Amino acid sequence: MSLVQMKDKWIKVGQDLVKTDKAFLEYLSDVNVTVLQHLLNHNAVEGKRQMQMTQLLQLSEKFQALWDYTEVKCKQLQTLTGQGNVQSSRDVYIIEQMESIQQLYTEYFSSFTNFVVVGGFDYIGKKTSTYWKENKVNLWRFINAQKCESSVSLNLYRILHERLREQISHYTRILTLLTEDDRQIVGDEGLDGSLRGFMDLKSYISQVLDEATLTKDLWKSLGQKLTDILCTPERRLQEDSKNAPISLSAGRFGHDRILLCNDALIHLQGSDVRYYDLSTLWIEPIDMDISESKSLKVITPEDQLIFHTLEPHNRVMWYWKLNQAVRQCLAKKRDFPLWGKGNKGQRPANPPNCRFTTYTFKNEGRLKNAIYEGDWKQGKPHGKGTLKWEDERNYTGDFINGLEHGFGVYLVSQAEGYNCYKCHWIEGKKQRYGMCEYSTNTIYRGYFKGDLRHGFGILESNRGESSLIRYVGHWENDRKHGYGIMETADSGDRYIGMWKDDQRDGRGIMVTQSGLCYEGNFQGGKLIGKGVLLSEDNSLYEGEFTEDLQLRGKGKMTFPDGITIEGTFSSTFGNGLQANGVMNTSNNTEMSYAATHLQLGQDFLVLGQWPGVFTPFIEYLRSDCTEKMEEAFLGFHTESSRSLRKVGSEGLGGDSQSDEHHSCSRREAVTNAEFLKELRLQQSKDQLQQYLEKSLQSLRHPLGKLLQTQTLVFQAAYSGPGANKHLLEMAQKEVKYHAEKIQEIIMDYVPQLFNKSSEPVESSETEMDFCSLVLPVILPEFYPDLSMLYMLYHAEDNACYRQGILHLNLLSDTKLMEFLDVQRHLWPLKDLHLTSNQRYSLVHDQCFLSAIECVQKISTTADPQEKLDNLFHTVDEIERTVNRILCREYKLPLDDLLPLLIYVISRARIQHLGSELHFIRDMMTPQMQGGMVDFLLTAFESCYEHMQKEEIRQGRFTNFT
Amino acid sequence: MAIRELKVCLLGDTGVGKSSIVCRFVQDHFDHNISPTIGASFLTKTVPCGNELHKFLIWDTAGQERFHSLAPMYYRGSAAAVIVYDITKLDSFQTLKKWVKELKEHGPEDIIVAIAGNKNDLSDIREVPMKEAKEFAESIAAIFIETSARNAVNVEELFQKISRQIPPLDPQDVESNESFKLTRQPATVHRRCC
Ligand SMILES: Nc1nc2c(ncn2[C@@H]2O[C@H](COP(=O)(O)OP(=O)(O)OP(=O)(O)O)[C@@H](O)[C@H]2O)c(=O)[nH]1
Ligand SMILES: [Mg+2]
Repeated sequence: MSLVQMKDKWIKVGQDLVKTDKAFLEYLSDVNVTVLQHLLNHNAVEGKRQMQMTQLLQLSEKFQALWDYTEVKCKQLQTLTGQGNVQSSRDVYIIEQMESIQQLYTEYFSSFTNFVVVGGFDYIGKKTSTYWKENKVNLWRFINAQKCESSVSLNLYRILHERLREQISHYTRILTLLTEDDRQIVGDEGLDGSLRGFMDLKSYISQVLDEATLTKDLWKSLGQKLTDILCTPERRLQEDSKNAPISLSAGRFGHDRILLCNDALIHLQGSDVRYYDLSTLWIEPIDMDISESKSLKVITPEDQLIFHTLEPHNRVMWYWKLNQAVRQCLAKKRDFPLWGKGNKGQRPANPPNCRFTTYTFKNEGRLKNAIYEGDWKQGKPHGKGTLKWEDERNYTGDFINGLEHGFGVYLVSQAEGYNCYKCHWIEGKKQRYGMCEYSTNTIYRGYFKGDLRHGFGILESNRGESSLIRYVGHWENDRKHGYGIMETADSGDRYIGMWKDDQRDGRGIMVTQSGLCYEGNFQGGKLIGKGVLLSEDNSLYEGEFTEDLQLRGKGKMTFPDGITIEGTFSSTFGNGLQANGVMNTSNNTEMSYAATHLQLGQDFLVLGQWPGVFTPFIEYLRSDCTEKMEEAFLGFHTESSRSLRKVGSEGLGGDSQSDEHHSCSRREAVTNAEFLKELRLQQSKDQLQQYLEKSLQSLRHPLGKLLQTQTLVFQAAYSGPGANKHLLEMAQKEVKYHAEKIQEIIMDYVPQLFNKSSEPVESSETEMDFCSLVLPVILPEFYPDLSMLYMLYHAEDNACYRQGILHLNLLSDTKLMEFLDVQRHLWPLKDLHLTSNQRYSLVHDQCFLSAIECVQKISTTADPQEKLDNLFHTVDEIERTVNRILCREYKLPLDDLLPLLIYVISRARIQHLGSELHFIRDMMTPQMQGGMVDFLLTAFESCYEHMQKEEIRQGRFTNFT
Repeated sequence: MAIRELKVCLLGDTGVGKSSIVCRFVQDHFDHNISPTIGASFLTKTVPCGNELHKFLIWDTAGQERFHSLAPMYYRGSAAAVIVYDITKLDSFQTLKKWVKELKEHGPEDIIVAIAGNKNDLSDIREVPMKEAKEFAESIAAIFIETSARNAVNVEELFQKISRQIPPLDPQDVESNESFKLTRQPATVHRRCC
């Protein structure tokens, strides 16, 4: 075909199309004026059968859209044709824009069939029948006279759709002619596609019309009552047990009726209507090979339905139809062109087992009237979702098999506000780590078991609350139980000890803000029976308490001056002491020393205070150590939210409480699964210690998290205004307990490093114990609070020591050595650099400088080993200096060493020497007793002691100044 | 073989020869692997006793009167105390009696007391009769021996006598003692024996 012929061809197509369109538009316009508008005028009149009129309005809208579109396109094409500009399929709108046309017709026929289904034509036909009787012509002119029906509704039905189907046939015809005429055009993708599209549209329309008729007939046959319940414009019948027998009761077919619609499966039995949403229907797969089977299992969120069929082929048919209906319902899109054929004709798959949908539970039970929106699997909530109960409780989070499982946020509405849980769940119950913000403005952070607070947990009032209460300790069945610490901010009281049923019960210590310190047995929240009371002025009462925390009962009181009273007391501290008894004035200073330094809580340590801190960690290690498990066992990561704050709201000073909300964003994945592997790789003590140092300091490392909790529980008891010198022993033992526990945990993973040698080893470098391995690594965390306790404990003696230093430092170097009886030949006079007019006796701070520097270093580290090394070096330096002076090696006997040490110490002016020495001694292994370390410490301690002596403190050395 | 560490402190007047006795005891046993010491006052020596090894941790104290009040810090936790007097000085024997009294009152409960009359090479100028001292020792159930640090007389014997008075360990204790023998000594300090 020549180019000219081609051009003519396209122009002819354009002309053809314009012609049919024009005729079509004329028809539409005519119908609109004479029929549609007239029908619509009835709209205003009636109120009761609104549904039909609403559908009619929609129908009219779609009618209009189709009309407008065709009109515009027709005009454009007419212009193009007139200009001779129709040159290819691109210029022909029914080819180029087939999909838009398809869309418009599909929409029109949806509305149209909706109107059919709700009985719109019957209704409107009846309503307008008188008018049509008088204006028969108006109807008949649209319909071929021979085919004309007597019923108005049927005529209207035909007028409003037949011509539109016809128009599609016209399009098909024009396109078919084009392909037949010209071989060159065959293979034009656009042309082929649009031709196929119009064919599909044709089959689609006849299918939806059939469905609509069937559905309309069904509603008619069911009677008004059921129709009112079941009929909706969009609902279409897909299968009916009347056609393909199926029943829920085996062997009694016809007893019930089953209707498969496009959105629901409906079961009718007598007046009972059951309705199952297709989106929450799971059809149990069937084995096609077992053809004898006649039953079908369908799972719904609350039921399992067993359907029975008469014939195996019915079963297969229903199985197929159910699946197709469910699939289309979930996709919210019906198959095109033909139902059950899937999109574009591929073989459609069965609906997915896992889906996202919403369901309202109806059955009695914990979920009655609850709405679940989220992921499902095989009839059960599974995955992520939100469950809302009728009483405003709601849960958002992970589900497994219908139950809360994993992590989830749970809100329970209270009289005022909500209790908000953010926790881990197992099979529907709160379990492991979680937190709860109560409506009462308190917050719990800790472990749960079977929905209840259980294990270790912290309960505290939110900041800004007037009566701040903080409990750090163990729980059982939602109550405070076991070892725990409670601090009340307004009274300033701190209780450290055992709890039972939310009350202080068992051994306990009460420290008040005024400095009173009680220890004894608590019962039902009260200290009753034998106990001890220490006041801040170091008075000590030992005896009975007949009333809670009151000095009433039989006992013995020791005053700071050593005077004692034994008898019956009946007073409270502060209100004057009333006693009936014997007073002993033989002042026994030893007794008052004992009271000042009395250490409480000695029998607590046997209990292994913090099982709740370690048990989850051990469980975590025994689990697969996944990251998810890490939060479930060890608490939420808080570091990431902290760093988020740095980035996000720096300087905003946001409430730091909210910073501790868990962060779901698991950005930088910690290699926590690797952490055990890494631990196992440690080859030597040094490596292990480095590993520990690194991990214990990281807030995101499991060990670091553990240490965080350890520090937290330690501070609860020993930090802040409640810090009390009578708790020193307990505190230092607790630190060791924490170190020991960590070591215990690690030991299993690197047993080779802990091989206990069977031979007594003289050189002890390869041996390890928690004191040398873990303790130095974790000590810095506890050190500030711990050293505060040492200072409080040594307050009195430190004051004396400071006085001693003050006076000794009034003396010049030589005077001081003379006073201390340092043998003259040991004086390092060589080191004294004199200026012209100076005499030896005036020089200050020039001797033993290297030793002084050494000893000063003990306060620059928290590591007891390092402190100890500094003490050793101090003695070394003294001896080195002496050897230099004597020009020979000389081992200092104690008679020479002590005066020199005192000299060095007084010049070093260390602030808290007593605390330092005490700390070193406490952190020393008991096995060192009697050994060199012990001897060295004793030497320093004896100097410290000596410097507090009256004669030094008072500066009674007049002859020397 | 089980090692037992035994703390022994030396008490007595100044100049009676405490340091000399320790020096003799430790030095005579010539041992290159001797553990480090502090000055001349802390020394150790290991001797066999039955099927045990006794490691003596010897704490030599200051004899000067003005440090006397510090003595309790040194003798606390001792398994044994050696109280030394000079047989040529009656005064030193009187001081010894005071030490005994103090130990009874403030010392560790089961402490083994050994009385050593030193400088018995100078018996010609003796002021303390041996019989009197011996009787005194018996009266307080103490070990008694006269020694000469200068001539190395009875120094070993003195410590042997102490060893023999140490009750042997229970078998279980031996085991636990072994597995927990975790001492730590600063590797940086190297000293030779005096
Ligand atoms: N003849 C004699 N002299 C001795 C003996 N033991 C010690 N000495 C001398 O006695 C003097 C004092 O001896 P030390 O060992 O320093 O006495 P100490 O008891 O340690 O004295 P302090 O350290 O001051 O308490 C020295 O000159 C020794 O040589 C001994 O067995 N015989
Ligand atoms: Mg000496």
